[in-house]
Amino acid sequence: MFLILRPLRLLFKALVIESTPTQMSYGLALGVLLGLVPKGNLLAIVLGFCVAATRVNLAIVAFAAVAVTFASSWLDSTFDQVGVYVLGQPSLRSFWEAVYDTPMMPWTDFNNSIVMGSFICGLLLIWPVHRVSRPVFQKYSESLARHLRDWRITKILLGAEWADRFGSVDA
Amino acid sequence: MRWSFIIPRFIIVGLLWGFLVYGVDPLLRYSTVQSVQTVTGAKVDVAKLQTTYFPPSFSIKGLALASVSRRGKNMAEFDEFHVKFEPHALSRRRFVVEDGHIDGLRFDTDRNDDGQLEMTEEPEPESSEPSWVTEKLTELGDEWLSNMEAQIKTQIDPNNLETYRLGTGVYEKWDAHFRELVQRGKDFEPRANALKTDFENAKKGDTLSQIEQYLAVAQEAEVLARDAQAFRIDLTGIKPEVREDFQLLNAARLRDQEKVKHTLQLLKPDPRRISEALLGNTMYLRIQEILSWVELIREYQHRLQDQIEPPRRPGRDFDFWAGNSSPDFLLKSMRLTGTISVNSESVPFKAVLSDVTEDPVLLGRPCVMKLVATGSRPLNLKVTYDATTETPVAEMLADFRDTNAIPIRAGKTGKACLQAVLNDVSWQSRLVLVENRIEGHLAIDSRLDEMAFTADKDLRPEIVEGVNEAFSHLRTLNALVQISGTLREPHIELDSDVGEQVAEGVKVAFAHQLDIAKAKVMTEVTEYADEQIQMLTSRFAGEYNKLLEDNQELISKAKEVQTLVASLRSGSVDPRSLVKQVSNSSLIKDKDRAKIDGGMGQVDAVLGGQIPPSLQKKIPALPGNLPLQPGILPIQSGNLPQQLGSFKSLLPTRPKQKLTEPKTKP
Repeated sequence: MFLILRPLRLLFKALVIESTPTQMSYGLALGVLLGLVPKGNLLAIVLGFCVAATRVNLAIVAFAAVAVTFASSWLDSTFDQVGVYVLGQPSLRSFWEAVYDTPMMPWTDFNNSIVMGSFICGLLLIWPVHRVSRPVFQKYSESLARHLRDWRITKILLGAEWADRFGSVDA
Repeated sequence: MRWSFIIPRFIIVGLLWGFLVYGVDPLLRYSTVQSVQTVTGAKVDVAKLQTTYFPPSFSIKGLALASVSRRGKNMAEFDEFHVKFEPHALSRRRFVVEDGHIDGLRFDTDRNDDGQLEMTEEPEPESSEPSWVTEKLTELGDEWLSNMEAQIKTQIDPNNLETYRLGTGVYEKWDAHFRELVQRGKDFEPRANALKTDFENAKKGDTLSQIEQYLAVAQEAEVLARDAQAFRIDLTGIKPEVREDFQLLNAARLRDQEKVKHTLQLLKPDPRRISEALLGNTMYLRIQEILSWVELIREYQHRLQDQIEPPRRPGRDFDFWAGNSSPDFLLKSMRLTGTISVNSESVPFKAVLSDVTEDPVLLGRPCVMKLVATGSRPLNLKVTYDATTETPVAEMLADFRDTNAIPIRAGKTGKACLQAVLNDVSWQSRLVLVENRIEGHLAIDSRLDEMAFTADKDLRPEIVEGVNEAFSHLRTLNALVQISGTLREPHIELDSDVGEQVAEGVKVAFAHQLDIAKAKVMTEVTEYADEQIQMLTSRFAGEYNKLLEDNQELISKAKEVQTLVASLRSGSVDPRSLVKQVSNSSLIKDKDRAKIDGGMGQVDAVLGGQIPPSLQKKIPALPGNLPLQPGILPIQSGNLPQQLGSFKSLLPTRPKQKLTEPKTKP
């Protein structure tokens, strides 16, 4: 039982509790990026790995990615225009050809206007989203963490009750 | 802090690895089944699907494609399908199969279930058009010798006989002519009636007007007689023309007889029909089988093309191929082994399929399949599908040998029936398919054994023997079927030298029968010509005679009137003879004639001194005792004629005394 609960507790702590406002704001920014990029291509998978490799708050990443995924379809026409502009630049043609000829790169679907447009928009949104959301997270993260700690599932997973009980016995 | 970072990432990686190892294959298996089911329209069973990443490969084990048209049957089934992808191309998102193989490929195998999908859509109604092969086989029938009879019937078909054509023409010509003559004859009738009326009216009135009217009647009678005479000349003038037409009919009959004689000499069974009766069943079914396969493959090809067509993605894809572009999918080589059913016998085969691609124009090479089957029915097949041009062209070359005996038969057992056995049969075919148009041929070359002709009891044994003797030298059978038209409605023409040979043999054997047939046909032609002449004679002879009689009567009436009027005009009136003429004239009615005769008798009696009793009663008795002989008046001379029977009514007119009043009063 301990072997099962301990990893879950550590996972939950990592996801919810032990995050700084900066990690949370970057998590939101990267989650927006992940959410904007269409799925089903190597680019989305690589982005997922990259995001997972950082020390951002993954819970916020996941939440933002899911939320933005549903909303991104409304912005497809904008992404398409951006992608067509970028991919259609004659000066960049040879660069794109070289990229496309690179192994594995065709699997990223970067040559699709919406994929390219959404990826560029997502990248451009990282900094603004981080800057805007960071103060918000600073203001509300403490109360949010406290609120989350009051959840029964949080208490069970974090073993607070058990710790209190054992602590009282030891005392 | 360290664990709180590692564990989530570790879990994510673990989930991804688990998906790649355990999730991809079931997912691919599911999508494969769904895709192929969409293509075939029936159930698809896949026992196992396996993928490897290094090297990239794809394997399917135990796949069964159910047949949509035959419940409980698999269209195809194989044990293993394995393809190995080229890694370099795959990294550039191109699926190039370097090598692949399908083992244990079998067709038309049994299933445990019916193999049908639970379709919610209404199945498409089957075409109600009859299959061309059914029509062909129905045309063949069993009466392979019936064509001779048909040819004979054609020869005595009235429409083909000159006698009939000429006879009909002559009949129509004289029919019209006689209608005209009858009409002309009828036109005289009102004129004759008018003459009669005028003649009767001429008797009325005073003497001067009578004379005038008699003169007018005489003129009318003269014109009528002249016209009637002219009509008579016309009537008698048609005789030579009728005679000439009869001679023409007779000549036509002789020519018809010669023609029938000549035709029957050339008459023999239709070789094409014999060939079809002997080989049609075998060859047409073979062609139908080939065409069905071609059609099925084309149908699946279209469905597959729809399937592999990538779903339309939003946005626009830019093509950044810089160097040598190549198709996204290319099957360089695929080996196939298994068994195929040839004439219900499973024959092992090996095949190689090469250059299958979704973009043949880019590849620049046609797709080729070579198949070699062994066993008692060896088959060499090469199918080339060239879609490198705008219009795809498919060519199929097949070379097939059948070492098993194939029995063939024309006609029904018990009737005129020809049976034989084909051995060492060799089929060669070449079919070219351009869109829906098909062009090609199917040739058969075989050894002909055990050829036998049998017939029912109606045919004399020596004829059967003669036919069999004629067939005894036939050793080989070669036939060629030319195919053109469309896949659905091919135009098939079968030609075989054996048909010609059989026809010759039958002709020799049936020479005696043909003589009988010839005599029969000749008789029928003669009878037919006689019938035509008889019909013409009977139709017009009666009318001609009646016309002549009527004309004769008309002429005599006119002449009689002319005679009467001539007598009056001359002034030498003999009243008695005149009245007699009038009385005897056919212009006077019988009733009137009796009255005239009665009147004349009474007048003769009075003139002879006899007073009728009815008159005597009305004469008062003379005073005194003068003995008078009753009934005798004294004869007085003067204006009265001195002979008995003189006709007072022809004397100048005077006022008539009423008979009811007494002549003398006391």
